[in-house]
Formats: sequence, structure tokens, C-alpha cells
Amino acid sequence: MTPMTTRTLQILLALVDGPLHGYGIKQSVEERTDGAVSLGSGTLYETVHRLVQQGHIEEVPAPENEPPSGGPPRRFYAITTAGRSMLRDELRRMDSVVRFARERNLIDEKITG
Amino acid sequence: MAATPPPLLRLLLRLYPRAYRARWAEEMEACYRQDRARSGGGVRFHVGAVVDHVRAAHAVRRRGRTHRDRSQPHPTREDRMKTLLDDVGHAARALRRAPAFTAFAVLTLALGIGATTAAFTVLDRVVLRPLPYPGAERMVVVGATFTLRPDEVGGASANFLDALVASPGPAEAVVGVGEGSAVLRGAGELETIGLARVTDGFFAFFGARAAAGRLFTSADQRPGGERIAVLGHALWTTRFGSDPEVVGSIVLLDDVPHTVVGVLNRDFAPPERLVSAETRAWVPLRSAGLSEGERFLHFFIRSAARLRPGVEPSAFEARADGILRATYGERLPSYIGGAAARDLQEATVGGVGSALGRAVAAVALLLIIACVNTAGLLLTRGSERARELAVRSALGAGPVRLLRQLACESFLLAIAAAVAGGTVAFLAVDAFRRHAPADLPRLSELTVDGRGFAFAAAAGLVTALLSGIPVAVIAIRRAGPGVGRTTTPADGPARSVLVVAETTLAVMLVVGAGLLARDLVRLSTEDPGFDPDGVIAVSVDLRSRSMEPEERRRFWRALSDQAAAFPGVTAVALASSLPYGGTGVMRLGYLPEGWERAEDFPLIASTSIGGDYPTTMGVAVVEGRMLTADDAASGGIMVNEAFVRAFWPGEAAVGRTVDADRSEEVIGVLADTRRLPGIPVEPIVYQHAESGPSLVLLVRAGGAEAALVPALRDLVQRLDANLPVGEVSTLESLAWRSLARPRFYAGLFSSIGLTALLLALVGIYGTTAYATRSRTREIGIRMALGAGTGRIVSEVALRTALALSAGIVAGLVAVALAARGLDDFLVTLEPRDVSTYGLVAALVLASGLAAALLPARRASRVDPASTLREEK
Repeated sequence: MTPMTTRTLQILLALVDGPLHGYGIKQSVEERTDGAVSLGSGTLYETVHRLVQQGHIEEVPAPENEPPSGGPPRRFYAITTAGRSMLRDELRRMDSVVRFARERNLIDEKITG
Repeated sequence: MAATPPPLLRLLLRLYPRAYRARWAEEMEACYRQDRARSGGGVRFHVGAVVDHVRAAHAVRRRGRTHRDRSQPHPTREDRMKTLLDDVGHAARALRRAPAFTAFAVLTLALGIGATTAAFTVLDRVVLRPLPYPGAERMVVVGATFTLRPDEVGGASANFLDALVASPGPAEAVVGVGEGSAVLRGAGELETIGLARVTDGFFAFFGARAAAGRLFTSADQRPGGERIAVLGHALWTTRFGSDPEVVGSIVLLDDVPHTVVGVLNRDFAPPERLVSAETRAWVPLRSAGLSEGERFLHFFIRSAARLRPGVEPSAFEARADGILRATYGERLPSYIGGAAARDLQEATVGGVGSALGRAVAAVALLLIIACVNTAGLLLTRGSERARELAVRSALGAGPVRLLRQLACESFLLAIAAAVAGGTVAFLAVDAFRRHAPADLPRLSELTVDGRGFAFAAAAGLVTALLSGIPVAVIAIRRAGPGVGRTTTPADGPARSVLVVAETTLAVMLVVGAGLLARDLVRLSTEDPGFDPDGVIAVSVDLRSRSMEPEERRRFWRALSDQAAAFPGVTAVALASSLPYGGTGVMRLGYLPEGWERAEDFPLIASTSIGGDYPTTMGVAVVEGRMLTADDAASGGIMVNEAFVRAFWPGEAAVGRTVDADRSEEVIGVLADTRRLPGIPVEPIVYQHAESGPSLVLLVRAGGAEAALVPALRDLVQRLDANLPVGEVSTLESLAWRSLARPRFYAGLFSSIGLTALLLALVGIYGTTAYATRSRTREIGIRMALGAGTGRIVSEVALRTALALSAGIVAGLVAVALAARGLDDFLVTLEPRDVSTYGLVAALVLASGLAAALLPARRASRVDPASTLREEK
């Protein structure tokens, strides 16, 4: 299985706490990564589209407490069971990589090579 | 939110596949706007957005491709092919569901395409295609011009031609041919055939080859050599059964034995400008053997030259003129104006080219009418199908797909129309060949060929584009928003434009046809100055019988006397020329008494008459009396009224003299008669006919013509069994034949004009019928509210009348501007004949209104309640 792209990972992470609309996903990602991962409107929906197609996220009805935005009703997306399990697999893979690095004390040293 | 995305985003969104765009555009836009607001929308943001969307769109597209590749292993070309086939199938089904529409559209277009293709074929084969000779594009006709007709290149005399051949200057070769006829004897019955005498190198000049034996050599031109002849292919097959043994055998031409040395190949067709297609046998001209008088005075050799590359005909003309003047010096006959050279192809097809060009223009208008008609039909159908298109558009068919499907329909129609049009063209060209005047050049080559069919296909394609695409675009625009709307946006203006356009074009063509038809009627009802009813003409040619003048005189007298004795015959006459014909008239340098030089008439027509000519022909003797045999000896002549008007206006002519070789005295004056319809009467001198070698026996028979024709034929045979049977016909049939050309053009343009009118009427009917049908609901409501039938009908009438009037005015203006184009065709009428214009305007207005009122009345008779129920 090929590793997940950063954008995919970040979007799935953004949805762990509950459904968000497109722009909400973008804000969440940029806040969490301090702007290191930036999602343009094109890239954002390209990824969302792909994840919807793959069944890792899905469109859900807007939450009751969502304030009206003034524009057309926003679409909200939530992570699916399949999405969660894929995210878990990815995080475990990353975890094993990080553990290995810690044992060799690689994280704080300068890696040469 | 604003209705349209920001310009940059709108552009960027186009990068994505349509389906993707439909799903995500709205959200992308919301996101884009918020981003822009937050970042302040600087250059950095916009550059970033471009990079972002280009990358994303690329990813989406790449994924879409690999996705499809995995699920469906076909290459995309087959995919596209399948879509195309789907579209074609869909279009075919759609057309089959509307058989009336389909049949009508195909028929209309087929008429237009067929007529245009036929006209193109005729123009192409007769005018455009180069003559089939080596170096034909450098060939010119060359000869003397006559003072009376300075624009026409005539023949050359033997002296002139020999001098030109000896010193051709910028020409590679110069050849000539003298035309004539001879009575052929041997292998079958007597027959008068076309016989041509040719100069050295004539056959090689036109690339002729022998099918058997040999053609002429330079040695054959020596006078006093063996009499030899080459047979034309047609004569060889019909008379000699294609027997190669004929080479070396002897045939009698005008009783002189000739040895056949060869037969021409079948594909040899010399230019009709030089020698008639009726020529059946060929002999060497042997100009050196002619008498000095013949060599000097007779400009009978029609000649052609092939110029060196790059030489202009005018340069050669100057040379020929110089040689003519050097050859003749002071002795150049006064009726010869000089020498001239003209391009052979131009001289061959001449005025016919421009005539046919105008026929093609007329027919092209017809094709445009057919296109306009079809566009009207498609527009109508497009409106009817607005709902269908809207539904399909809602189901996901994009505008390109819809356009493709509608275009498919247009192309299917065009293909069907092109096939049908090709058939129409084939039939039309066949009819043209059979009805065209026989003197139309290159007629025998005429048939629809590959070029013609290619033209039909191209015409079909253009038609499809012209009539189909714009209408399809209108229909799709309409189908976009407003799904399921039941009333269509007004296309009234478009329909009015169609009606105006159709009327304009139809008026132009109908005026043209009307002018020619009225001209023909005038020509055929014109008083010829004599009474052709019940007169039979028998042509008898004694030239093959080597008779003395006295023998001929006895022959003519016996013929006249015995013909007069037939029951039913009331009068008998002889004449050297037939009315309605050009032969048998000589032009001589007469000098009427009191004139030093007859400048306007340096050559006066002269013809011979005898017997009871005035009674037989129904021509009045307006002064003096008819000529008798005694007058022939004493130099008595008659003249016509036109002669008197020209030379002795208002004076008595009898007793005055006219000088030619000798002084001749006018015995009587005949009323004017026309030699050809529509041609002004010219001065004529009548000699007495009594011993000519070739005369026409004229017999007036009060109603017994049918029985007399074979009896007269038998009579000639009884008098001399060795005479070839000449033509026996009634003057009425000759009159009919003389109108062949005007009748042909009138028929041609009338059929074009009537087809145009018919198409336009059908188009007007169709558009009005649809317009009223689509207003059925409105009409229903208004009638329910109390509007009377008359009110509704008169409204439609007014609207149609306005459109028709606009079209009529435009058409009349257009045809008045183009009127000069008709000048050559018209004999008696001016091309801006006001009464014809008025008649056509009235005809088109009346028939157009009738075509429009039919559907209007039907619409006004509908039950208001039922039309309202239809609309739920």
C-alpha cells in the first residue's frame, strides 16, 4: 500500500472531531500545521473529490447549530468507517517509523548520509 | 453571492472536466472568494490560484483517464466512434419519426442541389473544360473580317491562307478547312453527307489518329493527284459496318470516284467553330488546284493556328492582318475589313459561356431559396423540439453533444438530398441535352461526371452548414434554461426575415423567367409578313447531277407543274432560300439608282423567287408585278419595302434601276417578310429563280399537307431516281424550329423561376402555418374574449403582406440592377420591362398571401376551449 499524501492525511485528521465544510477543512489544516500545509481551492476539492469517490469521507447534512452563511447552503463532509480505518493504518505505519527513529536516536541528531 | 464567478476563476474552472465542474464549481468558488478576501487578493494570491487549479485540474483529468482505462479497455478513438454512431442513429430515428418533415426537406434540397449541379455540369462541360487538343490553350481561330460584321472572325481565302502558312511568324502551325456537302454513292442508298476539305497537317494539328489505313500526307495536297478520301468513324460504322476492307475501295462523292485511304479514330471531334459535327468524310483541300478566282475571292476556309508559348493572339492578329494586306494590296475586296485572330475556346463557346454563367447564377439563387426553406423548416422543428432538447439537456447532454446531434440530422438530410440531387441533376442534364438547340457547342460531350457529383456533394455539405448549424445553435440556446417551459421565445423576427429573403429571391427569378416567357410569346405571335399556314417546302439539290442550266430549267418546270396538279394544291413557287433559314441568301454589292455609294448597306441580301411566289407565300405585291421567266433574261428584279425605305423613301420604285454586274430594272415591290423571328427586316433584292442548282419548291395546300408530304417526296424520286431525298417539311415546323433558341432559354428560365416560386410559396406557407400554430393558445384566448375570425385572419394577412412587400421591393430592385444580364436573351423586350415587373409583383403578392391565409384561416377556426385545455 502506497503511503498517503500529506494533504490526504491532513484532511482526514481535520475531520476526526466531526463534520466540516470545505473551507472549514482548509482552516483546520492550516491552523494545525501553522500554514506549512496550505490547501488552495483547487487542490482542496480535488482531494475531497477523490476521498469521496474512494469512500473515505462522505457528504452529510449540515449540523443543526451551523449559522447561516448568507450564501447557498454549505456542504459538510464527515470521515467514514473506512476512512477511519485507513487513517489508523497510516498513523500506525508512521508510528513504527517514528519509534524506529527514536531507538536509533535519529530525531534529534543530524542525519548525514 | 454574485451570480457569476470572478473572471479568473471562471477561466480556471474551464480546465476541469464538465462533470467535475458541475459538481464542485460552487464550493470551489465559495472557498476561492473567502481565500481572496482573507489574503487581500494580491498578485501572490492570483498566481497561487492559477498554480493550484492547474495542478488540481491536471490531477483530476489524469485520474479520470486512468479510471476509465481500467474499467473499459477500449481505446478512446473507438469511444468517439461509438458516440458518433450513437448520434447518427439518434438523428436517423428522429428524422424517421417526422416523415413529412424529412421528405419535404430532402425534396426541397434535392431540387436545389440537383438544379445547381446540372447547371454546373453544363457550364463545366461546355465552357470551362479545355478543348481536347494538344496545345489547345494556345489555339486561335484566324481569318478575314467582313466589313458588315467586324467583330466576327470569318474564313480565309486560299491566297491569304497559303501566304500565312508560308510565313506564320509567331504561330507554330496554321491549318484550314472548307466545309461542304456531297452526295455519297456506293454501298447502300444515295445520301447527302457533310464533306470537309482540309489543308496539310489539319489532322495532326488536332491530334487525330487513324482507326484504319492512314490520314493525309503533304504529298496528298498536290493538285492532279489521285482522288482520295478519309472516312469519319460514324460513317464507317453505320454505312460500312466497321469493315477494315473499306480502305483501298472506291466511293463516289458527287459522282467522282475517290479511293478511301483511311478511317478516323472514334474520339476525333474537331472544334465545331471550324467544322460541323455532321462532317462524315474528308478530302484534301488542294488549294493549288483551285481557280484563280476561287483562290482570290472566296473567303471560305475556316482556319486555326497554334501560337508559340507566350504569344498573345493580338500579336498574331497583327501579323495576319499584315499578310492579308500584303497579299491583296489594292485589290482587297471592299467587303473585307481586315484579318483577326481569337482564342479558339472563346470563339467556340462564345456568348454561350456568359449565357450559361447567368443560368448558373439563377440556379444558385434557387439553391439559396432551398436552403432558406430548409432553415425555416428546421427553425420550426427546433421550436417544436425545444422541450425535447431541454429535457435531454437536463439529463446531462451538454450543448456540444446536442449541437452534434442536431448537426447529425442536418448532415443526414444533406446526404440524402445530395444523393437525390445527383439523380435530379442526371435527369436534368439529360433533358437539357435533348432539348437544347442543336447549335449549342460541345453538346455531345454532355453528361454528369465525377466532377458534377463531387459538386453535388459539396453543395449538400454547404447546404447542411448554411441551413442546419445556425438553426441548431438557436435551438440549443433556447433549450438551455427554462426546462419544460411550454411557450417558446418569440422567433417571429427570424421568420419574417426568412419570408422576406425567400420573396426577394423568388421575385428575381420569376421576373427573369417572366421576361423570357413574354419575349417568346411576342416572338412566336409576331407577324412574319407571310402566311406559313398550309405551306410545304421541298428542298431539292441538283448539284450532284452535273446538269446544264437548260436541263435544270426543264427539271424545275416539270417539278412545279406536276406539283401544281396534285389535288388540294392552290399555288406553287420556287425559292433559293427558305424563310427562317440563313442559307441560299447571297450578299452582293448593289448600287441603287441615285446613290454613289451605299455606305450603310455595302452588301445587300439577294435571293431568288419564281412561280407564283406571292400567292403561295401570302405576300402582297405592293407595287408593280411578280417576276416572270422573261424578266430573268432582261435583267428584271423585285425589291422589298425595306429596300425602298432605305434608298428611295417615299418614292415609286418600279422602273428605277439597281447596278450590280449589269443594270437591273425594278419590276415590282414585295411586302416585307422576316427571315428570322425578332430580326429587323433588311433590304432584299429578288432575282428570278429558274435554273438554280439548288432550290426549294413551295406548295400551298389548303389542308391536305399530311397526304402531300409523301406524295411530293415520291414526285422528286420519279423525276430523277438518282437524286438524294431532300428535306420535306411544313413552314410551320420550320417556324417552330427557328424559335429553338428563345424557346429553350425561356423554357430553362421558366422552369427555374417556377421552381423558385413554388419553393418560396411552400416556405411561406410553412412558416406562416407554424407561426399561427404556435400562437394557437393566444388566438384561442383572444377568440374566447370575443375577437372575430376576420380580425385574426386579417392580422396574419397584414403581417405577411408587409414581409412579402419588403421582399418584392427588394427583389425588383435587385433584378433591375442585374437586368443587363438578361439583355442578350431578350429579342423584343427591354430587360426593365415595367409591365412584367408589375405582373410578377402582383403574382407573388397574391400567391404569397394565399399561401399564408390558408393556415391563418385554419387557426382561426379552432375551438378556443380545446386550445386552452391543451395548456395545463
